Amino acid sequence: MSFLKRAWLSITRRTGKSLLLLLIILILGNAIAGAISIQQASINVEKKIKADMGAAATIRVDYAAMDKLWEEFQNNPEDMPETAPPTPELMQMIGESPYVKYFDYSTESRTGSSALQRFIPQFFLEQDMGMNDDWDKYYAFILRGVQYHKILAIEEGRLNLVGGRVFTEEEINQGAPVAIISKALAELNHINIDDTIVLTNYVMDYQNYNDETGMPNISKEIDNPVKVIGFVEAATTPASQNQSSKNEGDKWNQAWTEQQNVNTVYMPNGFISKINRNYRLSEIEANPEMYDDVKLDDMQFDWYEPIYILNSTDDIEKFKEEVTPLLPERYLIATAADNYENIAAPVEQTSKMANYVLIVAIVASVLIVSLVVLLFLRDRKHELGVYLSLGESKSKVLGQIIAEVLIIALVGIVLSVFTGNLIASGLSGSMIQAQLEKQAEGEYWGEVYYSSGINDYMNSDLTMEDVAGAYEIRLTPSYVLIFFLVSMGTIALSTLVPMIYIVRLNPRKILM
Amino acid sequence: MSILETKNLTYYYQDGESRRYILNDVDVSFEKGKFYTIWGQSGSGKTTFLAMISALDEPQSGQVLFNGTDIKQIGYENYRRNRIGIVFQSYNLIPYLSAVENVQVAMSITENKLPEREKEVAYNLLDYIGISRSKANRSVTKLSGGEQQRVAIARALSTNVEIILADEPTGNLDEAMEQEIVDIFKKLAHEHGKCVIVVTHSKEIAEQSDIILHLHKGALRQYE
Ligand SMILES: Nc1ncnc2c1ncn2[C@@H]1O[C@H](COP(=O)(O)OP(=O)(O)O)[C@@H](O)[C@H]1O
Ligand SMILES: [Mg+2]
Repeated sequence: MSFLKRAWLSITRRTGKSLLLLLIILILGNAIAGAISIQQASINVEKKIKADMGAAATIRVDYAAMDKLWEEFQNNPEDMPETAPPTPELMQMIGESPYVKYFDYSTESRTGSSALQRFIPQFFLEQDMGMNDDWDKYYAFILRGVQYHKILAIEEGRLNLVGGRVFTEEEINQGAPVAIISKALAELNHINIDDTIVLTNYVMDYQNYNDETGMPNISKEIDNPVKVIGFVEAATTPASQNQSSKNEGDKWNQAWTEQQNVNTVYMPNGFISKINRNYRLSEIEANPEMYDDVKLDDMQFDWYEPIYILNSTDDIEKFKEEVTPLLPERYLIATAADNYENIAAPVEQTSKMANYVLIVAIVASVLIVSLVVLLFLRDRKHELGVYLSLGESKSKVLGQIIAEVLIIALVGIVLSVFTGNLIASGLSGSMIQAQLEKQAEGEYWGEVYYSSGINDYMNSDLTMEDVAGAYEIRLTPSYVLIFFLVSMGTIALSTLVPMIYIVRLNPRKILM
Repeated sequence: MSILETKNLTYYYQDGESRRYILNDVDVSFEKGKFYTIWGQSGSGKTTFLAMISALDEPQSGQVLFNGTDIKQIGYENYRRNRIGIVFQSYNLIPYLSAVENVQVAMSITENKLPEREKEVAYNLLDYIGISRSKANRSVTKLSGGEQQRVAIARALSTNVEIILADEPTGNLDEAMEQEIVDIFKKLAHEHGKCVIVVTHSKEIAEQSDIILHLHKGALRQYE
């Protein structure tokens, strides 16, 4: 009768005690399994949603750091250190990180046109929402700078090239006067590939206003001729389709986005930079009294915004770690997934609760199981003494007790894998729903990027409902594995005190 | 030729500054084929002495020799496992096992060579000691005190040892039962050549043994 056989007989013949221990382990096991189920589901939903949000990153001002700086220097703002934006060279250097799939950085400008008609969506025309005034006309077109000659938006599938070609690297490097425009704008103005269009900078005289319109007089018009080399069209996403006009607000948003997209002209950064420079110089010339103390050498004409598409969302943290030290002070890497925390609150809250439950359950398990096993052992101290008096080694006596606990624990744990998972899916569903309702009262939209250049990449339409919808308790291999490790570890810890008890047993005291 | 021997066996309890000697330089030897009793008043140190020679406790000084070798050298666990069988006053059987299983536990722990078909041997041994096969299959909690002590004796014998040690083995039994158990011990010594050492406070039992060793004030002397 080996010690394992004895363990087995002890379990099967002392059924009351075995069942009691099993019941305790089942209850605690279910708590642990449920908590781990919820944690795993939260991890999975985070992965999934972050993947949906995309692996885009940019460099932006650290608002919190800026606020702190302002506060620090509120009494002596003249001493406040300059916060220098990152240079295009730095953006280029960061773009060479191995985590980056491709990247672009972009300057932006606005012009009108003496020859082209701008696109106004039907919705705005119908509403007569005053979108047609002169001011709008002077800034009708968005000039979007491009450094990545194949155009990021095309590579990312947000734009389709429907005519002509993309830029050549040479055109980008030289800042050539070439443009890619939207198909709709081309149709509106009957433009063909290789046609030249004119984009006009209206230089204002801010001293003299037109009495009728209330607008400054135009002191000079600068025409910038550009050759059209390609047409693009926004790729229709399923999301944008089923958003088909629920209410006025949505319609307005949709029309606004469409107007922006159609009136965007893609051109090499270098060319936009030239246009900007000319325009600003002319403006200074036209308004000398406004600019009497500027030094032309110090003036900056261009601002760039980078966008980095990483190889995978898994690389976000590593990328941040690698490049953050390179950034100018008070700048940081922002990613599309940063918004996850804001929309994941219901899931995160539930997961946090599960964390507490897990810790409490583990601690309680160790205490309770230790105590129960210890009490059972004290009941059996004569039996243990007999083994020792018969010359059994303490390690085998220990082995028997550990085997008994492990066999019962294993049954409890195997059952808990399934029941805990079931309980978790029932419970967490309603917990998330409750959180969702609570959050809905004070919904927070998180960081929204209004810069239209990187807007598409950095902002997603995903909401709390999407996160809650993607949340799913499943019986995954990683859940099963983690639960087994955690629960077996807990049981191992729980046998520690009983083990000490056995090691210290003195058979003479017990038996004689 | 003695099988078991003590040399200068000394055991004391520290009582504040002074020592209270329970065993003081005890030299005694035991032979096979004889039935010994350790006789003395309650509290005289009989159990303490038995604990020493059964390696359940250790003397402060002196030795216990088995066939001339210090049992410390043999190893206490090894000594208990292969050289002796112990019978306690309160039987100390494993309650959730049957009589035959209790015997088998001991048989599986010893390293002594035992006949094959262990269970058969256990049944026969129990039968010889007075436990029928049907009782042998019963849970030991359903046996009478006398029967339980027989099972305990069978367990002590089952490992094929030459020394049987018993501490007040009839202390919980009535007189009729007591005599039957004592008869078993006699038979073990005289018919089977065992060295049987029984601790008792009872004059009646002591008088039935071959050699009475009287324990008094830390000294163990043959009683005439
Ligand atoms: N832990 C102890 N501390 C001090 N004295 C003890 C302890 N255990 C037992 N004794 C004493 O040792 C003496 C011998 O005990 P024991 O060997 O059990 O005697 P017996 O079996 O002859 O009745 C007794 O007087 C008892 O009071
Ligand atoms: Mg005693």
